Amino acid sequence: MKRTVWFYVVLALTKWMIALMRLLGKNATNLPGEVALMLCPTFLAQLGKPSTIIGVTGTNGKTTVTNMLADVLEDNGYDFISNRMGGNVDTGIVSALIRANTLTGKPRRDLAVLEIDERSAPRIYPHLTPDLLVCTNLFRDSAQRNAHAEFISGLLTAHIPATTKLILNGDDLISGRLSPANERVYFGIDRLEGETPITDNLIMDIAACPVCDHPLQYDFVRYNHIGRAHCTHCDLGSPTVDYAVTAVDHGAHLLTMRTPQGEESYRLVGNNVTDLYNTAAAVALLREFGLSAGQVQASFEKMKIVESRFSQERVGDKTIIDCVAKGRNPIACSRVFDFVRKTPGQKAVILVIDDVFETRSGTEDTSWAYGCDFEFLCREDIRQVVIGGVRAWDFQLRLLMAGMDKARITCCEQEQDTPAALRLGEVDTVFLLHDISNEDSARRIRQDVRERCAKGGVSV
Amino acid sequence: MIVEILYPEYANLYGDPGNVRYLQRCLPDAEFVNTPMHGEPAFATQEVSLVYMGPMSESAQEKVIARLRPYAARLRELVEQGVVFLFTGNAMEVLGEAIENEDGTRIEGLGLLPIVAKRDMMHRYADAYKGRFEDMAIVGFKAQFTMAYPTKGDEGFIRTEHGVGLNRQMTGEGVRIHNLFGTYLLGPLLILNPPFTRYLLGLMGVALATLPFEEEAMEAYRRRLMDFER
Repeated sequence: MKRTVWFYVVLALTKWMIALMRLLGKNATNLPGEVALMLCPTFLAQLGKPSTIIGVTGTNGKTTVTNMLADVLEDNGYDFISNRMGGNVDTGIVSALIRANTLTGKPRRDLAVLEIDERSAPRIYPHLTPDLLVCTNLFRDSAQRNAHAEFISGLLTAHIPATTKLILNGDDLISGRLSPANERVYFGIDRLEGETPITDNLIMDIAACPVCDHPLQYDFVRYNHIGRAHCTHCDLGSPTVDYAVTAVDHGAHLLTMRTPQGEESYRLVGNNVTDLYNTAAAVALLREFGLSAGQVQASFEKMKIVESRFSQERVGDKTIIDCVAKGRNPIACSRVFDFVRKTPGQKAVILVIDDVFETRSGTEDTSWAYGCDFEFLCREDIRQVVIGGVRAWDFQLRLLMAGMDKARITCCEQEQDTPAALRLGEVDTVFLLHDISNEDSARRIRQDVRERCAKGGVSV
Repeated sequence: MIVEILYPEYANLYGDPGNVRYLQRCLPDAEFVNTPMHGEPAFATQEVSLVYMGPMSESAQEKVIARLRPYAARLRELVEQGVVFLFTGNAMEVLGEAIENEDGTRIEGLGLLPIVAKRDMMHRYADAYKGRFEDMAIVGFKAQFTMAYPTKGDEGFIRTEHGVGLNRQMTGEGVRIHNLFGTYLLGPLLILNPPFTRYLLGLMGVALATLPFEEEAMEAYRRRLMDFER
């Protein structure tokens, strides 16, 4: 698109704005892009882009995969533009590109690694063409924003550029069928030795064949609709996977993958099945990008999971596990609840997942909780669930509906009161599950839990 | 007593299957029939006490309309007989006269409800909701691409106090004909509104001394109502 004088004015203004925000200690992840698009709606179309663009989209795992890709590329000496500090909608992507553009609108780097919000597809892809785009998975997410998985997959298929090579999840019959005319490779996980299928999820986002409506036969369900399936009536079925995790050695912290180039091993960067999928997605993309197995392996050796999403520490005789459980996203929360139930020992859970910012519309929507597997928390070894926040009584009702004994549930109107309500004598592990939107509050709660654990469970 | 759930493999969005799970708690002796897309509905040949359908994708709406069309007369007969129906979210729209796309194309509905739904797939409406039905406060949420427009001056069965009704210009929410209730409200509605659940069960001839988890449900309901007073 031909550049206008106004474009250059807005570019200069927003670059000045970023400099000012940095002086004030702000990240400038979204606001400059917001201003640019407000003043010049065609700004993204006019903005200079690197010659190679890697995109990461999908419902769950895109931040982790973006971080993995960025870490490996950085470790291998690549200099690139990224929005990994935040801002994955159009405004965040524009902000990242402004930062990396000269005043004449030319990109300072040849490569970009961008996390791209799936719902923003219509505003991004007409103006920005990824060379490689990985889609981690597609599930139902926020009902308010994302509606349902079919809506999002339709948006992506309608807007992903025809020249973009796709790296898709072969174990997901929704995202795996995106933009069928595009070139693609699939990542996935073979059924692993000793792996137990999870067949007790409430949600199955694709239970019937999208072609002929007959029931899908799942040969293996890893969780929700992730697994291997085929139609009982037509020839639709899960595709052959190009980059497949074939074995996991938790003791040696290694996973083995079958790739088009042969068998390769990579370091495990987490113990959950979602960590395996994220790793498989990242490896598939990096290998398709052109890095050698050795380059990727060496970088994975140095990698760790982003602290804000997961951390574990030992205080006194207790283990404290802090984990993001994104409210309004039933699948993400269910995955975390599955992790809680599979962690050995006697456990207590602090649940602070209110999206209080939403109360500006009157009250918070908690309907998602009835698509989320709170049933996973109803176990003998989960001794107590302490719920904090104004919606605690709704989540209490959800847990009762799931089958939890009321004596194990404690409601606190204030999130900060949750640590004092813990019955630490009954447990050896405390989970703190919180949303992204209340990380400050979660930090204070974690500190109070730490202090209680350090004092042998005495209230602080 | 038979409670029929229509097409749960498709009509299961936004946590609304929670309505069914709550009904199962309320009616432990009832037979719950899940009718799949390729099955014959139980209401076609049997006496049912409640027919429930939840929200679904837009393409599923079209499949459901096609599946139910042969049973439109039977549905009308059951509605006239006073059988209880609860259709939540966009499930209500399949019973309407038509669903209109942005480009003006129409999907003819089953014609049981005097509404036309208009889609606007690039503008999603989402908000919290509070209204009043008889002497009950009703709370819930809305998340939808459509608005419904009555064709025969229907004013909805819930008077809106917060949020919008069937469309942005209307204060009435939902459509009621005899004991057929269609509403855009999500929630799940029955868990969020114990008084309405008791009312609905009453229409089915069920009078429970207490609802399952009634004390806790009422506490959550009261606190929810307080949110709207702030």
